[in-house]
Amino acid sequence: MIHESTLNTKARPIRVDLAFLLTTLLLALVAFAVLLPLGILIVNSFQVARPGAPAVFGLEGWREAVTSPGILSAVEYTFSLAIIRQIVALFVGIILAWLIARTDLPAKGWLEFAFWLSFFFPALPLTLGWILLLDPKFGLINQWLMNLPFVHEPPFNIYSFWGIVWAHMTGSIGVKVLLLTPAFRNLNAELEESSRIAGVGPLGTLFHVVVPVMMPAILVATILGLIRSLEAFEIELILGVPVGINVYSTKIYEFVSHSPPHFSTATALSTIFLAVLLLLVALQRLYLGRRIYTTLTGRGFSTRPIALGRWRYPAFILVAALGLVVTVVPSLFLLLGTFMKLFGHFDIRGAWTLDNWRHIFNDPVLLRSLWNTLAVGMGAGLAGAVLFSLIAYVIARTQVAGRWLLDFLSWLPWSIPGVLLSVALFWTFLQTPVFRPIYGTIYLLIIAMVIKGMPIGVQLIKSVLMQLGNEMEEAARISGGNWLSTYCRIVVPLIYPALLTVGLVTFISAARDISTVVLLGRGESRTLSLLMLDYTVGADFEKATVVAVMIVALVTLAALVARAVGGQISVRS
Amino acid sequence: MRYFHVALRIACLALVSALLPSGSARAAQAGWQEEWSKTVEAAKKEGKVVVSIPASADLRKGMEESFGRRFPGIQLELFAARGGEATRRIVDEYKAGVRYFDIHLGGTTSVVLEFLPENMLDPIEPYFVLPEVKDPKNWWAGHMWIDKARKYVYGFQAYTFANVWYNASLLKPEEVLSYDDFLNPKWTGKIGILDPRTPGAGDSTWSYLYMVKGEEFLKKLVAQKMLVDRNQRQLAEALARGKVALTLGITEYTFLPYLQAGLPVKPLPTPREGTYTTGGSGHLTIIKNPPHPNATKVYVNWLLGKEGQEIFSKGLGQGTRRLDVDTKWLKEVGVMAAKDFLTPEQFLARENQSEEKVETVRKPALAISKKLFR
Repeated sequence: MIHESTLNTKARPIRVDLAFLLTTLLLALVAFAVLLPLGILIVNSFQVARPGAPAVFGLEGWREAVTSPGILSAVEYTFSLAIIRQIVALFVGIILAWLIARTDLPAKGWLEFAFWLSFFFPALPLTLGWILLLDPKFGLINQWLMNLPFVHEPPFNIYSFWGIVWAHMTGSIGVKVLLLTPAFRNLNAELEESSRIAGVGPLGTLFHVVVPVMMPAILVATILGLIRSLEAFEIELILGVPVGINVYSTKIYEFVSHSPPHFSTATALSTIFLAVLLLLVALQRLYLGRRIYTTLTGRGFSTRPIALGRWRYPAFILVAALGLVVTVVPSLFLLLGTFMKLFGHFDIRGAWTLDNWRHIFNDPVLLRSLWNTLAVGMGAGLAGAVLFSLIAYVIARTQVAGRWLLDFLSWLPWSIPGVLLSVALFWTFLQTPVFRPIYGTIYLLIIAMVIKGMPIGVQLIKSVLMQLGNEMEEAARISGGNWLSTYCRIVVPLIYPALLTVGLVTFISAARDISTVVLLGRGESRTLSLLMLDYTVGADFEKATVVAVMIVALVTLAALVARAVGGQISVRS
Repeated sequence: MRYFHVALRIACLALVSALLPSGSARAAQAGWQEEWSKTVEAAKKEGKVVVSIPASADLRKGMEESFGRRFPGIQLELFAARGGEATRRIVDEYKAGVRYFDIHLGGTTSVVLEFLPENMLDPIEPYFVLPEVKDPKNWWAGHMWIDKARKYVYGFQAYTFANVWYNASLLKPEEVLSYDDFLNPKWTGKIGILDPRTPGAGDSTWSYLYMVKGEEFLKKLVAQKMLVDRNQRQLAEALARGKVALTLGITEYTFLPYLQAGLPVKPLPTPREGTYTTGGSGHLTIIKNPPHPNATKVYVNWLLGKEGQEIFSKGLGQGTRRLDVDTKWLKEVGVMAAKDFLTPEQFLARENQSEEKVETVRKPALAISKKLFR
């Protein structure tokens, strides 16, 4: 590996060594954490022996993955659902982010917060809430509409293609606002002002100036969203499978759930998905590699909001209504569910009860689960913010050879659906002696959550760093600062709001994650989300909903704290 | 008179000696008590026992509270999960040399298909210490083993239950008197089944239908466009809401809140071909060389004692074979403990959980389900 600065090693030996050493160390760490589980998965896609028998390698898993009836339809549904969701969410997300970040919309801070919350809500209970409203047979909205004289059949059916798209909108729009608003906020208003002076209207400015400059963030948000859409699972399982809509991840779940599990088929399917992801990452690099997107330099920064004039309050009503639909409505039903004897049944005798809360508060493992959640969330948030910022810095701000490889590797954890990532990490930790002493402890859950959060964490910080001009770092170096001191004293203070947010997002992901940690948790390291799973699997939805409300309360509190201390995906102005 | 007193003394002595345990019996009693005390002390030093149990929060909570009260120095660490998920994890850990689990409790399909081929179980009887556990007389049909070797998989439950439920507003029970009536075009798209490709009551029901009706029947049944789900609660909800008229393989316990709420779900009277008998989740296995052998012994004797069986039976709504545990109440939730209604011969004739039946009935039935439900 050759660093550009090696030409000057005689003059500045320490700086070169630090950067080179750091990159090598990060590469080794990320390769170990990412490639090993992936390698184990790929090898297992060829392992076709039955339990107890010696290992036999063959193509049976691949054959089943490709020829399994229904697989083509699953692929078709996977891509069509993902693409349509992304188109709708991106369109709505860009407009919302622009309104919140660039205009004088009233209460925009709280509106942004509402969309944040929608992204953090757990999918399972929210889906149950939507079923309650939009089921074709008993959905409350359908029933109300059927009372109208001109409505003769239920207008909505949540168990359908469009029902799945709708149920995903809460999270899909939320993540777009989460990612795009801070990037829009970092845009120097001088660009918009220049456009207006040149006679271009607001919409023309948005699409000809703002969107092209925002392309790195938009592209990152789109690709992250697309990958997340491709591996979406819970909503499809509940709303799609009963009506014959299978997607790639539900097929994988099906193969893993068999007794004995068909791991070779599931991992073969996952490997095909990996190829699609690599293609998306390559496209993103190809697009971003040729352009410059600096919006913040050492020359000053204007963030004057655009006045909406007479559209200010109509726009507010529209955004607030959407915010209510994606946050308040589902959370209201989530909360209502905790007081119901039988979730979704309003018309039974004695429909309301406090027993679910009483039961959960008397559960001897509640406090331990809460403590484990906090420990895993804070550990992953802290470790993630440090590690991701270092990786992003090497990728975005250095010329070290091999940084492209680091960028590429940091995407890979998202190439594996949660249900398989859990298996891969489980096998990795089990078969790697260095992990044995911490196997089954919460430290392993922290490591797993850091790996899982790597793509979004690194990409978020990277997109912020790409907007940061290099004059300030150059000035620091000219003043005698070395690489490390420039990073610590110039870069970190500038991007700390983004670091806080990345730490928070990692905390929240850890607090609500089930699929990644389900195989790694033990009785003693059970988190709140695993406690919720205990109740869900035991068919006790009402008590699971109580735990879900606790998780939502915890992440809301974390989000409020981060908001109070200034966390956002941006650089400091 | 003197002779009378002597005779009276002799009679009293004879009576007392008859009532007191014999020398060997006394020695045996002292033997198990001493062994038990030593085991409990050693278990306290080990500190904990790790048990994999079926996914039920009620069972987990009941066991933790009760065992904790009884043996305060021994921590009971429970891992609640679906059978297949737990067994896969235990096998992988065992093969990697990680010794964490001591005991697994659950259904037999995963145990027979995954544990037995790996030769990773300890014989169970050496773990029996307390006479109330050891003595076959305390158990309906004596000690019952699932595996052919009769030492690795112990079945402590035996019962039968209504595994076909109907929505009373959509179906009259007289419309389905035989399993053949499922094939009536009237019920197309109106039958829900717990996914038979995964271990559980859906797999048991499917295997029984294969046993009594054969493969052709199963093909016709699948052609009825059944609603297949892995979540019992969702299928129960579908029946209560009238989306389906019949469900197969949903356990009575799932319907309990719906029954209490007065919703129109009811167990279908057993069709004329009968139904299967089962041990449900009541099967004990001990992982070879458990990390906490003494705590494992304590737990096994507690579980198979009266208190442990009451907790397990109540936690899952399944019927124990222990004769001193009341199981009559289970009838309210559609479960009939074998000891209250069946002879051992009747039970064995209709069971499909033993190692032999898993191999001869369940495996082929599973293969058919994987073929038909793709």
